[in-house]
Amino acid sequence: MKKILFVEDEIKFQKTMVDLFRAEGFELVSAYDGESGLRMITEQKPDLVLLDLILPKKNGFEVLKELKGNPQTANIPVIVLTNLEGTQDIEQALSLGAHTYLVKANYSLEDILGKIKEALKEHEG
Amino acid sequence: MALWQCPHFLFLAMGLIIIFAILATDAVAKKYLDPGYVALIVLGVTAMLFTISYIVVSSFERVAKMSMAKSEFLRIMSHQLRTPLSGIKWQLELLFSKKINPSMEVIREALLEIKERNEKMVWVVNNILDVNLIEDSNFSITSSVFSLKDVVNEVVGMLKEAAEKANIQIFVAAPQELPDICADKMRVKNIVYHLVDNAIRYSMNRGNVTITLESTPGFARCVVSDEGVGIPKKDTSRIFEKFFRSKNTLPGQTAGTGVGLYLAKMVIEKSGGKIGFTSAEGKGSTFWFTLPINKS
Repeated sequence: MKKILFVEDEIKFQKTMVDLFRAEGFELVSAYDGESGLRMITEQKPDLVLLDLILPKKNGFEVLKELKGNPQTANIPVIVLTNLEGTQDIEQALSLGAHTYLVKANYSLEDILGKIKEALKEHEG
Repeated sequence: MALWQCPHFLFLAMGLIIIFAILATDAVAKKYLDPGYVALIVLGVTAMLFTISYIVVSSFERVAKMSMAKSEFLRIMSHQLRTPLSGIKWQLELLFSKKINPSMEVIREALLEIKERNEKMVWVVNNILDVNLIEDSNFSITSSVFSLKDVVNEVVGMLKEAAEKANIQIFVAAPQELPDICADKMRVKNIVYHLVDNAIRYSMNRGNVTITLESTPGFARCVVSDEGVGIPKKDTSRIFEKFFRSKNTLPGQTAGTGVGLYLAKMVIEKSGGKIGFTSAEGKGSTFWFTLPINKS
């Protein structure tokens, strides 16, 4: 079973995702702030990280930078899932090594699942 | 925006000044042949030009700052609107999804989330519209008589979850009898919400938030104190400015909109009250406002 870490401070979004991911046969683990997200990434080595950008304690950009800077975790694909859509935000996230940048409001849950499967497949192949 | 802040006007002014300076230098150089004299005059004109350019450049800087604050405001506002929107969108998708067969309980929860998200959106949109109305000088308030204590209690109820999440306790201290006030109820509720929400967010997960209600001759007074980060001295003069946000918040946090205090000041002053604050960096902030009590 593929393990996905969802770093997102909104409990409601976490709850929405948990049911859906279970139905799809994924294991979803939750982190509610950037610091614990980073800790869980190094401890649990998920197959993919779904990362929000606006987070307490450490924001998504900092998480991304540290994750990609650590050789042990640099390989884990990261999908940014946020509601920020500034050109600068997108450029910064992609240049820091994010695999995909998704704006929450523009994607359905089905689309997000599709992108996750795509990224996992690419990573394996 | 004032004329002297308008980039087109500044550009024109700058051009005219330069042309005038060239012509003046030329005329002076033709009239006076003593090099020492000419040098002195050129120096004088240059000094004048330098001063004027300084004024022009600082005006441009002001314009740039305002536009930066505005684009930051748009970035945050679109985020604030999209968050409830995506919540509603995803919940509806789940409800209609064939993959999950939702129980009555799940449906109820989903609908409740949709309702809350919808309310949040209305709140954000109303704030944006209020800012716009003020900009167009089209802003009016609808006064009614109501209890400030009830409004405060309602707001505390709304923010209870956010406070708990941030390890913060909210205390309300109010006298048994507080005279009713006469003001715009929805907007006063919005102000109290902004003040308490700010107090929670700038508390950085520690300390208490205390709301004190008291009556002074002719007025009811509401004081919101926190034990949070406080306001840096350099920001104190800009705190009620439109779109202004102090940078000392949690990294990457954008829950605030940058218009709350601006709107608060506009509404309170229009209602015949006053608003102000005291703050010590690292120790916390206290915001207060007064509103006239109902005389009839």
